[in-house]
Amino acid sequence: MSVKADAPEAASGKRLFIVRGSGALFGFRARIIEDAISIPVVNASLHGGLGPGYLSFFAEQLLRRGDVLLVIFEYPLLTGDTLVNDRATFVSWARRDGYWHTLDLSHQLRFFRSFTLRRLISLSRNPPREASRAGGSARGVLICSPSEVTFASTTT
Amino acid sequence: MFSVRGDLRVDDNLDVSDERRSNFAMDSRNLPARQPQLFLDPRSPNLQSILGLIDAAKHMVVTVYATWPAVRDHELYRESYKRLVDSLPLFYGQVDVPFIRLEKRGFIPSKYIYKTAFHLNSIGATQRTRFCRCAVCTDNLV
Repeated sequence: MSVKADAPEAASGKRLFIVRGSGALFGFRARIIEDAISIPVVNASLHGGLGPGYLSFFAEQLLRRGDVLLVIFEYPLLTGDTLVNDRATFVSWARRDGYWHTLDLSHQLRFFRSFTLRRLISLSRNPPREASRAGGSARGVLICSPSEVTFASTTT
Repeated sequence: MFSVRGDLRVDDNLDVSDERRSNFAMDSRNLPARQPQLFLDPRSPNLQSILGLIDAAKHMVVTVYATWPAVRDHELYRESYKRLVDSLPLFYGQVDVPFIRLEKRGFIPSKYIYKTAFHLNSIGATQRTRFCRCAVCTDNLV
């Protein structure tokens, strides 16, 4: 997730962001679009389980004036109320990104109600592992907290 | 190429690498599951948050486009998502967001699906992106 948040900063000028859940993460090739339109294209998609509220919040942090945004939310994300869920709350807590400030009062209450005392102690002692556990395995690896993302190899 | 824990890697554009999904084959574990009938409710908090993103983007003079998400082409999914598929262009049209119309309205043949109904394998991802690229280039959207 740190990679997702930091990499776009490197590109200057107009950029195109693809925002969605894992459907675009595993279903889109930003490079193909980039080669066609000659502006930096970033696949800013995360895990759909974070909910459209957190995905929108995350995308908003990346945008700069003049950018281009392609939104492709999966159908289950278009209905109901999943603004506050375990994944979003724990990832947001681990990243200290202030997501809860953007929620209305009833959702803020739900946000904090999801933290039991035991969970809070666990989070304060080991935020990365807790956030990763909330995110799940395989498809959730990109939502691990910043300290878990490693630049193991740089080939380009 | 960034390594993000385990064997999952993302490249400079943050696309997921092909190593894991290129060898994947559909089997009996990937049977389509019946989904609930869904429809767009403008009052739903999820939809409101998406509208919030669009508003914020427009406030920052960010150009927003939308398209259908990729879904496995199967009778069960076509039936479940029919109302959403039909109403999505209208919804985005109401908030002045240009809609990229793709062939088959985002339904992807099973041979291009990777594990879930919403994930594509490497060939599927390339093909779908090429359709989008064509739309982007043809309509001069960017």
